Amino acid sequence: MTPHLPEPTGAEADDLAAVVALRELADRLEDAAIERAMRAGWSWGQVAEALGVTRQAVHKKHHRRLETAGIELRRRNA
Amino acid sequence: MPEQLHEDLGVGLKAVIVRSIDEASRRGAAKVEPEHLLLSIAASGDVAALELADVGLDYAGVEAALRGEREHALRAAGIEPVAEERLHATGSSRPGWGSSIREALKRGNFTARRDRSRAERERLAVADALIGVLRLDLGTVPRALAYAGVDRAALITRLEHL
Repeated sequence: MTPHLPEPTGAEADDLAAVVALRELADRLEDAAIERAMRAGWSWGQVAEALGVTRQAVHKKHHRRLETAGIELRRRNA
Repeated sequence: MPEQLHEDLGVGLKAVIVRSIDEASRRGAAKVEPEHLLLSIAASGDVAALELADVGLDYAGVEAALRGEREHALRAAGIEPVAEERLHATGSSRPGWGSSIREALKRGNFTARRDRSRAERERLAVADALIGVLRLDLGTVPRALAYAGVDRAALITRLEHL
């Protein structure tokens, strides 16, 4: 096959860019949704249950960011 | 800071790199990517920023081009853009370096001006970093510039001739 430089906006590139954009969207939506839930008083355990992941996983990923955001995190039943 | 920048390349480029971290953080990005460096360069007031502005890529122009690219990419997957206010979140305070920004800096023009004085090289360091960003052929930045109708090759040539 002759090596060629693919177009950055071709059909294949569009599909790959969609993956990048969807990942970014999912990440940002996750950050925003968890922050909103925690501000509304949800516990780590409740957020984890809603996301279908372990409490440890969600805590590890978001704990520092939400502390920086100044959110009073619920300890009880966490 | 990426290893490509271990040399002392002057305060101008350092300030631009540091600001690119802020751009990533403010946008809730987990990694600093070439688009954040591009935004930072556009806001720098450097000679490179003037060249960008000349082709319609002042800071607002870069933002619009990047937004347009994301909208295109999401539509390719059948997704309508989500309203910004629903995505508002406190950013990660310490985004890491993405692999694309390392690649962009690797493609920078830093060694091409060896015959110039140190002062000259420092003066053009941001432009040389921008050349690296523009030399990326695939991914978010070249897509955004293509949709914005920017001739990357012509812009690279102009920057190389500074």
